[in-house]
Amino acid sequence: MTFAGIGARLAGVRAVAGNTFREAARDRVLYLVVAFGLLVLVSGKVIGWVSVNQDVKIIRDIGLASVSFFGAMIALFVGTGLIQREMGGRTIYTILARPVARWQFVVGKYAGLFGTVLAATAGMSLVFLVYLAIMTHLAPGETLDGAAPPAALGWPIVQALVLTGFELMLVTSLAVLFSSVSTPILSAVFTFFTYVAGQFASDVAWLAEMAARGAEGEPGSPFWGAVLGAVYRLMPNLDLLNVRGTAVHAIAVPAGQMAWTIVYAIAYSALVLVIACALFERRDLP
Amino acid sequence: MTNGKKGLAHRAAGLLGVTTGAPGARQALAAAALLAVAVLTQYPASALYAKTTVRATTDGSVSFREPEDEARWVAIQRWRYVTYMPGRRWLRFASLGNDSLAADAVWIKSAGYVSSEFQSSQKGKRFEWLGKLYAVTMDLDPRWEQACRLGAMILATVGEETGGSVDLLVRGMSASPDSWRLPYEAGVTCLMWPGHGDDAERYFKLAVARARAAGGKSPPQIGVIKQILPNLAAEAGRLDVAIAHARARALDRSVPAVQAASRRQLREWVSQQLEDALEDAVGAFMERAGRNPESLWELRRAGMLAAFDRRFAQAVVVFEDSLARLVEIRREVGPEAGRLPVGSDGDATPEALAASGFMHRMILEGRYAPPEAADAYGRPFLYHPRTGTVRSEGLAIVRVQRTTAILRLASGFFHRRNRRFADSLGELAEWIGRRIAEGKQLQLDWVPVFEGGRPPVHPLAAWGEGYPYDPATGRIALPEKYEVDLDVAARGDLQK
Repeated sequence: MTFAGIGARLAGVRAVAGNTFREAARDRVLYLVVAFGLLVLVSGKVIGWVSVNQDVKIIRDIGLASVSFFGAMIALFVGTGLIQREMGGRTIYTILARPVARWQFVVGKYAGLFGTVLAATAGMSLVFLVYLAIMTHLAPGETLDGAAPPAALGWPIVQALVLTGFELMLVTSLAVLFSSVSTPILSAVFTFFTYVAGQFASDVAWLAEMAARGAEGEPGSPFWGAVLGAVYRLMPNLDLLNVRGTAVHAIAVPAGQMAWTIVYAIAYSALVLVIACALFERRDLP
Repeated sequence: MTNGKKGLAHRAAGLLGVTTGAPGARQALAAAALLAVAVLTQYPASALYAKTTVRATTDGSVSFREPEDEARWVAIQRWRYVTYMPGRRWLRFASLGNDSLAADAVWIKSAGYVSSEFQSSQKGKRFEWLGKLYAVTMDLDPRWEQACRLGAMILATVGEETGGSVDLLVRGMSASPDSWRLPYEAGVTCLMWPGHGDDAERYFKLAVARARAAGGKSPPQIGVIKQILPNLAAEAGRLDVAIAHARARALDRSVPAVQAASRRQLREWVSQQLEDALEDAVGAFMERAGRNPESLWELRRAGMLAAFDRRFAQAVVVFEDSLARLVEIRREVGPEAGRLPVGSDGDATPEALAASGFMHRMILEGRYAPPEAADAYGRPFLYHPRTGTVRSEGLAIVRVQRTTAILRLASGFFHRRNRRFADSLGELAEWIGRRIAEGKQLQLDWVPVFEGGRPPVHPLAAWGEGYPYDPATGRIALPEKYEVDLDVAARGDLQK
């Protein structure tokens, strides 16, 4: 394939992505979720008041969790209806009548949606970091023996936010996958439960280990151990991308772990996207 | 794929609202390659993740460095499964994997629980779930060092769960292997826990080793901590712990000055403890009869001095005055009283006396006359039937002497600063109280006397006594009856 060919294909993707971004940016649900996310984020201080001098830790926890959760909710509410809306309004025919392949349409939708999610979470992250800096300056908190508390802002918090971005990349790909093959409501349900299941991947690993080994004198089942082990390996491991628990204590993630986790997130998102494209290619349009 | 199989797949997909289509060969290849990359990268990523993230896949499955620590943590499991409160796993699900956030929620819940229990009227059952709340907090966020230390402190003092407090710190120690503060805190807690001196030493050594390895600030001098510990325990309201430590030192003859100081402390704390036991008994009588008892003897006749007698028999015999009184009783009663129990060195030691039950028998037979003559100074307990107030006379004398000395110093201080004497003790107290509130440096023992800016209340105020103050001279007179030396007499003289 020539560079010109690649450029032409990317142009198609870019056009769909741009339109999707503009369309999503007009969605009121997006602003509602972002506003609610910001409200929860700022309320961390109020909750911190009753926390026996642990305000900053609680602001960090609520902030990081809000960015992740509300980012996923944006992908869920905005993303799951994207393709179906095009099909319902028959606008998909005008798009596909142009020199835009179906896979370009899916990838374009994904890129546009991810751009929207990224823009919203970047905004929330920025508000969170500024808010955290102000709160840390006003009430730095103190340890029991007067030792300096861990730095409120720093590389670990940034790492956690970056990995949250990759987590949302994966969640967005799941939303597009389900959106390309199912109705908006079912897509939302599937995406939500896959998102929830992905958060507990390490618990599935533990379950696989327990099933294979057997618990409290009971004999283990190698078959179920292997099945659950395979489920663990195949399901999206969003747990890997959650380093918020260590970031709040200012513990940085090693560069190696960061790199492998990012590669994993990109590979898994690409895999989901390839499956979405393949399924959409063969889908009978109404 | 056969038509039948394809139809089945389509029907199954249709049920889920999914419209399927078979992917092309090129896409299948790409998907397989990406799947392989995703699966393979998961191995190193999850291995590194497990190293950096202390998130136990099973409750309390973090590995321990010391077998004793592991045993201690296993013991704490009882808190986890016995109550209605959800454990780590359920809270993790509820918070969608945000363990740290769930830990915050449990921590806030524990703060509310402590305050609600303070208001609770259920005596004897307070702070029952405090250990459980802190254990779940640490399960969810094992690296939350502040919560671990603060929780352990509250558990040991307010909750009176010294063992649980150490368990919690051990949990934190395992999750934060670089922290010296957690083993240090565990050492201090063990020092306050009679019979756990060895554990304290072990934790202090660990704290020193960790502090050295980190190259940071060293823990405070452990010897100093040991010396001030009984006072710390007494301030925290743990008189039993304070007495246990002070008694050990009061019996140690190697440093006479330390021994004498410990005995002074011991008298005060034991008298305080006995006074508290009597006031509790008066309160219980009031609840039962709807009125205060006429005298302390009425309490005895009502059989409500069991707790007092127990404390008395265990504690008061450490004092020579009491021993002297016992020798006297024995002389009065004659051989019928039996031999005075003695320790291996021939002295009538408190341990030998307490273990023998001699004192208790004397009390029950009415030969020794508590509560009227039973404080740790060999002086009576005074009782005011109208208010139900009980005061140890010896303790009252000590407090009046001490407070008068402070008032005199404070009056002189007021005069130096204001070029006049205070018009009243109220004005003096208000002035000093304001300085305390403003954070001005004052002698430490002035603080409890003037806290709140109110003049000190005389211990025998119910009997109409007060601190006589002369505004013309700024002098606070000490009545003659308080001019007594309650210091410890030589042990040998009393053993004659």
